Amino acid sequence: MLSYILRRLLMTIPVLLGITLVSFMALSVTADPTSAILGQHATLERMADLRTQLGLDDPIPVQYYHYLVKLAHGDLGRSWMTRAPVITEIAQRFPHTVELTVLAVILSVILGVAVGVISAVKQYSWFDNLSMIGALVGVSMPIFWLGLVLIAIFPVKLGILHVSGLIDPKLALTSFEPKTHFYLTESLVTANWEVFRNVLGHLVLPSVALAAASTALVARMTRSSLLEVVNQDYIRTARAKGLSERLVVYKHALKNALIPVFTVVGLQFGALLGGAVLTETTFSLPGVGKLAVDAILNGDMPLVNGIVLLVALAFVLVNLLVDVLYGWLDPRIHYS
Amino acid sequence: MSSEPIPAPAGAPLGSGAAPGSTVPAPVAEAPEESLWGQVWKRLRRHRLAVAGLVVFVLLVTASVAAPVLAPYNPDANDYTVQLQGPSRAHWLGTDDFGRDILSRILWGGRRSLSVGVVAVAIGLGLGLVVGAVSGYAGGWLDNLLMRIMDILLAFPSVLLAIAVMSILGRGLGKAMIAIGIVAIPHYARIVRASILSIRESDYVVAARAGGASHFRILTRHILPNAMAPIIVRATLGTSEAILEAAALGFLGLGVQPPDAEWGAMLARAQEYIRVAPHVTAFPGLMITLTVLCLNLFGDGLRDALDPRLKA
Repeated sequence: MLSYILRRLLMTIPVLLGITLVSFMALSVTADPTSAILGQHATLERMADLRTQLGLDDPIPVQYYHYLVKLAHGDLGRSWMTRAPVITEIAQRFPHTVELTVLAVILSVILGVAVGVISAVKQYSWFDNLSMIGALVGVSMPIFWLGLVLIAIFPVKLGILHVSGLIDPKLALTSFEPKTHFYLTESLVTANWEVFRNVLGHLVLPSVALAAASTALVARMTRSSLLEVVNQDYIRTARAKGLSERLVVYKHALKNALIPVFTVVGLQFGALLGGAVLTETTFSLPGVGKLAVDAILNGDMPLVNGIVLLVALAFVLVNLLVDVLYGWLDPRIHYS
Repeated sequence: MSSEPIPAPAGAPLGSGAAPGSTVPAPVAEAPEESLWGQVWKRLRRHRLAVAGLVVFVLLVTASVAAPVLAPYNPDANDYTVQLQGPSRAHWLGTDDFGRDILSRILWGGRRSLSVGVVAVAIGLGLGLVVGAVSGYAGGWLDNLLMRIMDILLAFPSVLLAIAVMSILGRGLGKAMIAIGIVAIPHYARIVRASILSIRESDYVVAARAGGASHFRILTRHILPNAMAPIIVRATLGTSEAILEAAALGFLGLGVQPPDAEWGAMLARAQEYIRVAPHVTAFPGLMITLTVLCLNLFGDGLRDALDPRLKA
């Protein structure tokens, strides 16, 4: 097992190098940043100075080498717009995205598995038909449109929950001095219920919007996987022993049926990170997805670069984690 | 739509080669040789949802193509006397913040949204076909290299990769097509490669090779026709994904630039007025959902009809 993990880690290195190469090339072919930084009234001299200062006059392989060396030191460069280190910018925003994504995963697993199990147990009932139609619509809906619809219904029509943001600014000023950027987790741990409720209230709609497509996939997967398992011999044996249907479904069938579901959830992580870009833009959440969009619209290449790199890294590592957990959950799988 | 269940004759050749896995010889002679597509259509017809999806999708495409005839107004004509109005007899779907007719903009916008889907898939499919065919047929280090590059592309969440590509190319509809096409390459390349690996050593390919057929001929006449079923299914579902991604890029302001109408971009503008005129957000989103839903239904049915073994 350990050697498998090590080998998988080694195998990710070329992929990660490839990712850095792609993002670096993106950086070097894009337009000259000097005019973006200095404004349109800059003199040619000042622009030339800045180019030298930013290392943009070096040959491209040299620039890539410098880039890699800096990367190895955790230095992703400075944002062209704010002049702050990219790593700090991301460190401030990434926790918000993580909390949003984790909430969405929790939602989609609970809801998706519940709907999937009921659908499978009551196959071809009205609930089954309705929820499978719902699942089809769920994967066909653009995330950002679902977000807009939720905004139009809840804050605009009914006056509950929030249109945008992560926390009420007033509350943030008076009763919350966060030490980390994990607002939800921190307020939960420090039992700051007022803040916890407020932040959660802000995150409900975005996480529902983000979770919709995954919920649909999880529900479909749970249903088909459970239906498949139910036809196997050991389930017949369990029934023949006279176990109650409840016990058969929840103790014997569901455990095995959930293994493929788990993989789907793991693979959804990338889609959720991509979806976070859209949800955060829709709800103006200060996460890394919104940061990425702002950076691209401003032509802030080091920032775009850093975000893409870190998200791809997170994605690769989560996939590795899912593979390893998969083997732990299902002892039939052996890694050699 | 209700047709008697026809036991589809299973011995039909898929393309020019024999369908893998279908071994039953054509049983009776009374039905004269039926084309592959005739059979597929027969099986597809029994999928009522898939047929419904296809019909609605065709209607949507027709309506978009006929936009110049159908649209009651000029989609870009501002009329400040009727800003943000609800649906009425004059404006069936209401008007937007510039007083433009939403129905006309949806019809014209459909042309852009749908064509992004089709062109992006064509780009992704074309390049994916080349990469996958070279990779699967050549094998060795070239295969390894190409597949690792595909792995790298797959290491990015697709929306993020598309906007990263847009950050290099710049904004605009054509660039959005290219970005979404690039994102899709690995999916097609993998399918093509897998199909090739599975039939490269089959008897009829060996026979063709022994007969002195060139690599190109073997590839185009013997291998690719057999890989068509999964590719067509993937391309159908890929079109729906591409339409969703195009709408996302439009929503983020990276795709179609104002004042041109496009469903995603229309939603981005509508968001600013969601408090006063929530109905403006309704219709473009409904159109995207409907289009994608139809393509998904059709794609699922097509998968079952083309090759029952592909059933998910």
